[in-house]
Amino acid sequence: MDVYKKPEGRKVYIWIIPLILLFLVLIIIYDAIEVQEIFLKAKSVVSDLRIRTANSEDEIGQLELRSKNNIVSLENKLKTFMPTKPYIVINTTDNRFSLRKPNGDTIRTGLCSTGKDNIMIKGTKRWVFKTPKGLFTILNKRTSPVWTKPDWAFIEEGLPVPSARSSKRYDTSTLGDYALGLGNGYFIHGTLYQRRLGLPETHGCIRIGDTDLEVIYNTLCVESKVFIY
Amino acid sequence: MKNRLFFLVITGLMSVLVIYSFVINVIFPIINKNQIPRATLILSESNRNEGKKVALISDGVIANCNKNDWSKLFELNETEEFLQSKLNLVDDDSVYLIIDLIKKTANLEMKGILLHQCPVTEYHISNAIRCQPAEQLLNWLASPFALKHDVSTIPKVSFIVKIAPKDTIEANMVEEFLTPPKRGDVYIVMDFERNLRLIIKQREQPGQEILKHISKLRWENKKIEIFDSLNALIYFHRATAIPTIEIILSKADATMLYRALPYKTKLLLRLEYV
Repeated sequence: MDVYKKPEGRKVYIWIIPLILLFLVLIIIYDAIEVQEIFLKAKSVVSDLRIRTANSEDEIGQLELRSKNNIVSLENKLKTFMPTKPYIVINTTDNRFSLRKPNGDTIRTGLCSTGKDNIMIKGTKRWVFKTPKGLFTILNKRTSPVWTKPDWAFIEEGLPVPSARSSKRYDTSTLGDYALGLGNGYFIHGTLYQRRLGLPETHGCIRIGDTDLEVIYNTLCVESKVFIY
Repeated sequence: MKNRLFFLVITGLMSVLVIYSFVINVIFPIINKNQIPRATLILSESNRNEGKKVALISDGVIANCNKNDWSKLFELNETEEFLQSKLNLVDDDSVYLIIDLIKKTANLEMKGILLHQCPVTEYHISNAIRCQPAEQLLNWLASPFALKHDVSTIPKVSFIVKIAPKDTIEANMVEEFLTPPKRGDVYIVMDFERNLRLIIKQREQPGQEILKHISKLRWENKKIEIFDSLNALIYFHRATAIPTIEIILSKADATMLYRALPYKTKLLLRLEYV
């Protein structure tokens, strides 16, 4: 009859040691950056104590003066980049505009509508309805603008596309009372859909409410800057 | 006897591995001052012509300063570099980001014009930045950081593709419901040159689903770090610690900021010397 022998504890549990060591390796690898940072912290405290000891007023004074002069000169240079005319800033994420004086003070803020970020495809043709971002300049100003409807305006409504000179292409009401041209067919203009202001739903132009648009039209001039972000 | 020998060999090997990984991944980078990369100073054309140099604090001056003078000098030098970098960025035609942790703001600017200002609710700077010697920190901050890549829980641009005419007619009908676009929770990790990692979090508590997404993003980053650590063991060279800045903004600001920034944006950073 076999007699059951209890295994010796030491022999079984002693293997925990290499396992712990292996675990340590894994921790060091996993947290190397954090471990380094803890050591860095300790090191910086020591170096700080070593560095900050004496004081040489002349040298520090000279350095301060040189820095202050350079700062003034740099600030003056930066000021030369400020616009000389009122400008408008368009936020396409929140669909808001901010009309500003050349010194940056706000004249008026309000809601607008920008591009709906759609791509429309018909056959091989493709239209991207997005408000371009960046710096633009007002190239022209118009009152009672007439919109010459492009092909996509008909395709979008499921209508047949008329000929290039068809009277169906001319729309006198959609753009509102004023339009400010930014180039490449993009305008800041009015809208029939005032209650939709604040939503992204244009084909790339910037729609603004009637009262705001009047102020913008009267404040901005040709060559005023338009910042779109 | 055989088991004992096996145990000793394994334990010995493991001990060597512990010491080895500790030396390579921790001790070596610390001994080598764990230097963060220096910026290449770009002077504007006008400054170059005038032969001006950006004033940096030298080691000699460091040794001759008391704490107040030192902080003041650091601030002046940092401001000078900051304005110089801003001047260089003004020549670009794209939007750039300015994070000013002294004023606690994150600003979007273009051509020197402030487009949008977001208040930073909270921020955290990692020790890898906090513990750098001032001269090294100034060198690191000396020029704008260019974005290398980013990951986010929200898309940069979300285009909807419509196939005319069916989709467009149906879409026109749907547009009658005036609902503003839905905004997802925001967690953004942006990796810039010179190892800088910027994490943008939203102030509002994110939903359960997004928390999983955030954990996944964190794990992705951790995987890269682990891979680097393993590489360090093999090639006997440890990459420097990743200087990380974490800022917390409102959800609306964080979304706006991310969407407004171009793919290869530049960042200007201003820190308080501690």
